[in-house]
Amino acid sequence: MAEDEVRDLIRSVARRGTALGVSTLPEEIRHNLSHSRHAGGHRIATASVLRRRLTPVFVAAIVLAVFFVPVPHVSLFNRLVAPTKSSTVPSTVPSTSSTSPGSSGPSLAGIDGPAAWALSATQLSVSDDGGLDWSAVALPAGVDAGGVTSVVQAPNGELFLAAVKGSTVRLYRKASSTSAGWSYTTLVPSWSSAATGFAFQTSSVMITPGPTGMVTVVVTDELSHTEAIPRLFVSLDDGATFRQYPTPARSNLNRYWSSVTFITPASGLVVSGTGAGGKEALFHTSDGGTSWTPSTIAGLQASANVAFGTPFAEGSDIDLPEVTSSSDGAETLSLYVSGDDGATFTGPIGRAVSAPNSLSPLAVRGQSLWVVHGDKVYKSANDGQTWTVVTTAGLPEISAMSLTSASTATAVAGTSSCAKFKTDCTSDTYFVRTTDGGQRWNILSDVPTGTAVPVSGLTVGPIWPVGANTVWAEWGQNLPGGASGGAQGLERSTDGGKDWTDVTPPGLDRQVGDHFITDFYALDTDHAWVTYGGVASNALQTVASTSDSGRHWKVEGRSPSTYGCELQFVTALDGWCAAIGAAAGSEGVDLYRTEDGGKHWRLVSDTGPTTGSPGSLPFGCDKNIQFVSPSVGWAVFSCNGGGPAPLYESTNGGRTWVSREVTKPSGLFGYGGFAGVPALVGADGAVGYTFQLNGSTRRTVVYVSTDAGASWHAVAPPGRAEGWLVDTMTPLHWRLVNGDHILATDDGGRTWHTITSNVSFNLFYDFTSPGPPVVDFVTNEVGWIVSTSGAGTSLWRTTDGGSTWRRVVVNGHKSEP
Amino acid sequence: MVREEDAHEFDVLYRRLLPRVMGQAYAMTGNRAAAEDLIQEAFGRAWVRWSRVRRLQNPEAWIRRVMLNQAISDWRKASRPNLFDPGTQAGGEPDVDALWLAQSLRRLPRNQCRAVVLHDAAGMTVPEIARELHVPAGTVKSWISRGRAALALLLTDSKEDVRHGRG
Repeated sequence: MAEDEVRDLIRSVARRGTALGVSTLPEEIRHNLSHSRHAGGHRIATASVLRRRLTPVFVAAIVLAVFFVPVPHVSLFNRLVAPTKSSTVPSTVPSTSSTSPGSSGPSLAGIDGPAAWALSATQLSVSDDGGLDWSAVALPAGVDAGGVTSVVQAPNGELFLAAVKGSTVRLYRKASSTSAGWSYTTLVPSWSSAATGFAFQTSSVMITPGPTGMVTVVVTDELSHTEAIPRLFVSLDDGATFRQYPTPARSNLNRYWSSVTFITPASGLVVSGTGAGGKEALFHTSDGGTSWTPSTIAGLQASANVAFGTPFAEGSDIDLPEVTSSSDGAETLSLYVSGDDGATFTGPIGRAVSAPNSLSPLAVRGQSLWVVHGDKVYKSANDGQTWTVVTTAGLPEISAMSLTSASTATAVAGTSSCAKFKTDCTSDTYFVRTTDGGQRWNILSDVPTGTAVPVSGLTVGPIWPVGANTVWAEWGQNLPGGASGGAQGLERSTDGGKDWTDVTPPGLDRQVGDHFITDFYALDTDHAWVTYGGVASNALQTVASTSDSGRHWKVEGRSPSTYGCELQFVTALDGWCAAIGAAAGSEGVDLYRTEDGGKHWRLVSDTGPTTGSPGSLPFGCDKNIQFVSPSVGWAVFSCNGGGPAPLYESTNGGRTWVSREVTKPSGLFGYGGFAGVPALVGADGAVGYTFQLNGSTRRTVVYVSTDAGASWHAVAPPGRAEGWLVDTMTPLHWRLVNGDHILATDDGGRTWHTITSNVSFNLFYDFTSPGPPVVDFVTNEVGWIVSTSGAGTSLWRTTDGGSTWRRVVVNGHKSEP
Repeated sequence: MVREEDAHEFDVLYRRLLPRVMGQAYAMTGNRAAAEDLIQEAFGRAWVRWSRVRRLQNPEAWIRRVMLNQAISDWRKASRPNLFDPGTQAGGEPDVDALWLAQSLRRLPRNQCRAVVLHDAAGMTVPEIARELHVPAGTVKSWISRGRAALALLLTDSKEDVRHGRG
């Protein structure tokens, strides 16, 4: 059978499975669960009880659905709705949900001059120095972060925040982040459900401060992908009182407004969007918003698809960035200018430049003019007469930007993907900064946006903390459809993750041919290894190493197993590569050994289903092998049922293995596994172990030894049965992490204290995945957590023993070649 | 106290994801009832911790991951698929392909199994899988490629086993 036949077979089986349908109603799952939880059980009622027949129509629908799942695309969303400086990344509501807006909880962030703001799942933080230093601001009483639909900080420090209450919007305001309390005004959109038969619903709120004393709020009901009903509120007294302006009954004004820009209290402009591939329209008012008329843009092709950036004032003129896309897909970026408050625009001024993709342009005026479009930064020092184009590596989608000098800018970057146009969106927001005119953008760490995936399309992992301050990370860029050619690399930080250095081996910066990085192991601050090669099933892998912190790499030799093995080293010369294969439940092991840093390998132990080398590990159970010295290694197991899983030790570099005596604590049953390899000092040892009792009920113990590892007995942490991720730093110092609690002991479990963290970790307890430690306390104060649950891998670091964790953002950016 | 909007949100997610995850569940189990159990288990877990799951960027990935891990854990408990309750095709014939597949998948290296299931059965793209399994795309590609190659061999063997009722 060929590989593509395998793929087709799996697909056809999956398709048949989909066609079988699932008849269980979600109500039944919820209902059954709420009952069984009280009864102490967890397993949900079996399918046979709940199964019902599906109608043929539904079956047909889901068969189609599984093969035409909308591919999430990085959408125009962020930029269309929030394209410029005084704007925010708005939250959206899945179109299928009737819950209150913002409850799906994407973080909100923005920047406007020196003012920057970020709303995480738990708190609002603001910065008045362009995103470098942050302070927390208490939310209004009765409003939690999930209930905030929009937040904006004006350059003068004024804060505005919108929360939807039923059909009305509460606009909260405070004069600065440090002033006491919030005041609010209630905005009541004049939606009449009686007149249309629709039940209107506020889907988004856009707050735009300025000019002085003026605040505009657009409350929008998004009806569909292209239709929306906006309601405009204008305040001329800094948000204390608002007047609502009826939206004129112009079909292309009743759209999604991506920006409202008032140049003076009387004259303003609205960019009204018409959806993907469509035309945007520009309207202006000269009576403060009472009436709107289309702006005339001389030189613009009437029939073309156009997208506008947010207009901005330039002296007495107004500049308008614009992108035209022609039917053949070519796009040009131009700048138009108006001298009459936006009634008419002429242009393009200067040279139009071809633009790479269909995103609306973001232009920001500082000492020079920057237009960000796709992965290019267009810079002009002469009002658009001439442009310098800077191509950036891995530039994420920018939703707002602030220029601080000719070469320095801070921006809000968003990774936004939508299942459908502008709906079902998830977004991840963070701050990036360039100091070299836009070539390289570094992610500002320590910004409390609280989200996980750092850069659009990049996967970060594995992350290897080594010691208190040094951390290595491997990353790769994921191109749409899994295409080859994406960037990849290694980065290294020596200051706890603040600054990163690109240490990618030369020639391995792209995922092409036989240059895919397939494995990475960091031993200490200086020594690390990679394997690279092709990704075909039998492709040879090359081993390369560095001994000078990644400055130089040298090829050592070939990886010993074409099957794929996992590298590990305990010294610069002594290493192993373990090919652990064949299955959940039982695993064969081919263990290879090198004593010259990876040049030469020999098979030292081999476990198969029926045969094995003398003294080799048993075939049964999942296993994870880690060496602690050139001679001593541990094989920790996780097994189904019976428990506990065995623990094996080798004292001859993995050639033979001896089972150590593990005494199961009484009253515990179920399968389980070890949290890592034992910490052993002299006669004393400790290692964590978690029993999976039933369903999601777990019980973690720490096995201790007082006879140099020959036998082990359990010490139970205090409190109720629960699963902890255990880090046995030494035989006496243990740290157990679950959620936002850390159980700590410094005397081998005789006395414990609890540390409450500022972050609740949703750590996934996975018995079967070896890799870098999930929880790694280096000292009593400094610790790392690599969280690999939820949306991605994120790295956290504490320097105060676990009370305060700060997220460390791995760059994932390449410096320019 | 169950909030009505939570329940609604959960139901919407369930209905939206169901078609996508059923294919994956069936491919992993080769058995309709087991597939449904798997789905109910995963969604049940999601509901128990709904306040957290609903805030995830990608609840679907969470559900898929729980299903995958649950299936692997179930594989540990039962060493072979249940040959007495095979899936059936539309015509009522036993779905022998599904049995071959379920039986062979469990003999793959764990990472290869995950990558192949998520790619070929759940229809996820390489970048999506890379994000979900927290490894670079190149690694995912190599897992898929190696996993398929291993499956090609295993499927030929297990086809014989199923025919002879050996499991």
